[in-house]
Amino acid sequence: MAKFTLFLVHGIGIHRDPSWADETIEMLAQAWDSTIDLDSTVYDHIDIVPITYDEVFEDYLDDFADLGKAVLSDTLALSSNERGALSKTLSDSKITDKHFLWSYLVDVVLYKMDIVKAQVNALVAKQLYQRISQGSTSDEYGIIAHSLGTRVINDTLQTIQSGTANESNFYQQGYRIKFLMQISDVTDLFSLPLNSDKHPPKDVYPHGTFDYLRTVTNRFDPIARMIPTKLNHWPDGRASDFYMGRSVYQDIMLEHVHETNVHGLTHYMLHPEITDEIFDLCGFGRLLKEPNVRRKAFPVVGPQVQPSLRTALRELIHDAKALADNSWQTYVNLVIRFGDLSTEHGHDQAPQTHHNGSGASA
Amino acid sequence: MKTLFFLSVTIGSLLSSAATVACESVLTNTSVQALTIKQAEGKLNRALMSIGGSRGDLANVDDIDCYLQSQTELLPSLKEVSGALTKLGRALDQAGSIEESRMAINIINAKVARDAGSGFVMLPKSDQETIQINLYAEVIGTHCNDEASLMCNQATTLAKNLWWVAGEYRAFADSKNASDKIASLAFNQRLDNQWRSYKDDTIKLWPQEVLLNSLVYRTSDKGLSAPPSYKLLGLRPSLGLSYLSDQRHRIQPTLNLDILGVYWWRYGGDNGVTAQPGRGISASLVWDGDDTAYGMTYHHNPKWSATIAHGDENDVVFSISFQLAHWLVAR
Repeated sequence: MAKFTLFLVHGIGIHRDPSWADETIEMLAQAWDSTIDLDSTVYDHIDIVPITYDEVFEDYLDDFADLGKAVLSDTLALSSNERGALSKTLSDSKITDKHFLWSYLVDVVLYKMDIVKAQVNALVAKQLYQRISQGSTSDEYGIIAHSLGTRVINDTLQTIQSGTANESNFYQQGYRIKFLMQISDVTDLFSLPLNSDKHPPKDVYPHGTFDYLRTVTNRFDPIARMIPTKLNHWPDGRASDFYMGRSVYQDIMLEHVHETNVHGLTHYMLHPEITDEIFDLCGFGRLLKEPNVRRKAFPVVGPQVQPSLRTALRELIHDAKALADNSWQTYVNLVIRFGDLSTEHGHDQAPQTHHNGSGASA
Repeated sequence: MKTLFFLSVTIGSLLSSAATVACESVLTNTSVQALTIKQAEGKLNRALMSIGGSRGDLANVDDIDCYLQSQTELLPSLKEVSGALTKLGRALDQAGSIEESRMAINIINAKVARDAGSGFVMLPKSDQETIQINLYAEVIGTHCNDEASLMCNQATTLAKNLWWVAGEYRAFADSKNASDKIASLAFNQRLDNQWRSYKDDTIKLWPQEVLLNSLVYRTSDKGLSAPPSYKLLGLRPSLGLSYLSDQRHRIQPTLNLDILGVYWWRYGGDNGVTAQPGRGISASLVWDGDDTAYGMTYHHNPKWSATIAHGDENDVVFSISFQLAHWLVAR
């Protein structure tokens, strides 16, 4: 077989260009070196392709800022000194800083807007297609999506599948997506706030859109735990099916806490159960070295983490369950408290590139 | 791709010459090395992992059919597979129109698959049904054990060839989907450009207008959606320079608000996806700090607008946008 093509789809936060995935790719490379019984590197066998759609959100946010600035600043007859003073005041007061809530929720709110969603879907479809169409229909393709990306990729695949062969429906051109791994799946979160989903992912299921689905949740990730994956739209019995020697669907529950941002993609990628599953789905399962031993040896609490964080996260989840389920108030409450908790335990608000700090980028 | 083209040509030419090539010449194993099950699994594993694993000496549909029928002693289910697979290959090879090709591609896509990790291949065994074959358990596991044997060698070759056959059948589509691929790449680029133009080349939206436009916008039922050629305006603030007929200082800055309106344009340019400047109209109000006047605003382009409004005491307000005022003053 040719190289496996693995797409990575980001979640909420700042992901302006494909370099957002550098750290995740490096973690996959390290996991490959330590777990796969081959002398070659992951890059020799798997093409890892980051997908980026955050530019759409960022462009809208820039527009909003420009419009406000045009009304409040540029059109007022302020001298340049006064404008500078105003800018400094805003900066000193941290009024222009992106709050945790802003960083996490504004992308979700924008994606719920149909004109934004349609543009994001078109952009993601374009990137997927440009890469897939370079390969053969005998090649294999997989997708790992995180957080908001889980919903984005569901919508995009559903839209692609409903189209025609000459409008980038690659399924009708002979291509298949082998697997979709949804990390911190928020697909069903979009029923908030009115308990209704305008565009439910009704046509996304095996074997129409992909062969295998994996949902991955950390027990202490409040975003993922808020509304668990339902798969209500799947045909009866499909979730328990076996296909080509694998279970069609698996829900993988983790419970490690190695960083304050347990929601982050890189935090999920630390766990050998996830990287093992990725390599297995990519076709290298028989080359995994002692998977059970490594998984058992993986510490539940990371070396840099105080046990108090784990306790606090457990309490957060417990308290959230006591609130009214499936309401936007509960969700916002949970996100705010998760932000407070992360801050309290040293989580820096500024976007960072290293998972040790696990910044607002998620 | 070179390989697939060769496959297509080979199939076409050999089908027309009634397939006289003996199947042994293509897929038969010439090795006489006896193998143990461990050696067999290692060989199959390497074959499944190999990059660019398709072989250069490609078979044609009839060769594959001949070979599969010759292997039914090792794997009896191949009796059903060979006929169904050949039928599929011929359907695709003989597909003349784009629609026929698409239909054949869809069938192959649904019925032929392979998974290097699990070592499974899926092949058709009738028009409706498929069969999933575990190459490790059903092929090698059935004929190999700890004692080295030639039978194990043959089974290993069969397993590798089934993997190869599934891959080649899946690759059949490559020779038939070229026009759709070219059209799709152009479609995606056009759509992306059109969306960018919708957002950037026309009037910019405030957050509440993004919501308003999303409530009205309807996505396509089939496939990806193109952007609309209008934007609704709602509660849109701007600063204006206004003439107020009842004030002592008759010309002064005012706060103007588009209460509800619409801005429209056409897509044009060389590629037909660039939003042209457009124009808009809206119901609006003008507020001078004390009184409010209601009227209509005309947006000549995303930057310039003019409003005429009527106040409480029969006074008239004429207002232009700050950008227009600056432009007029600058002249």
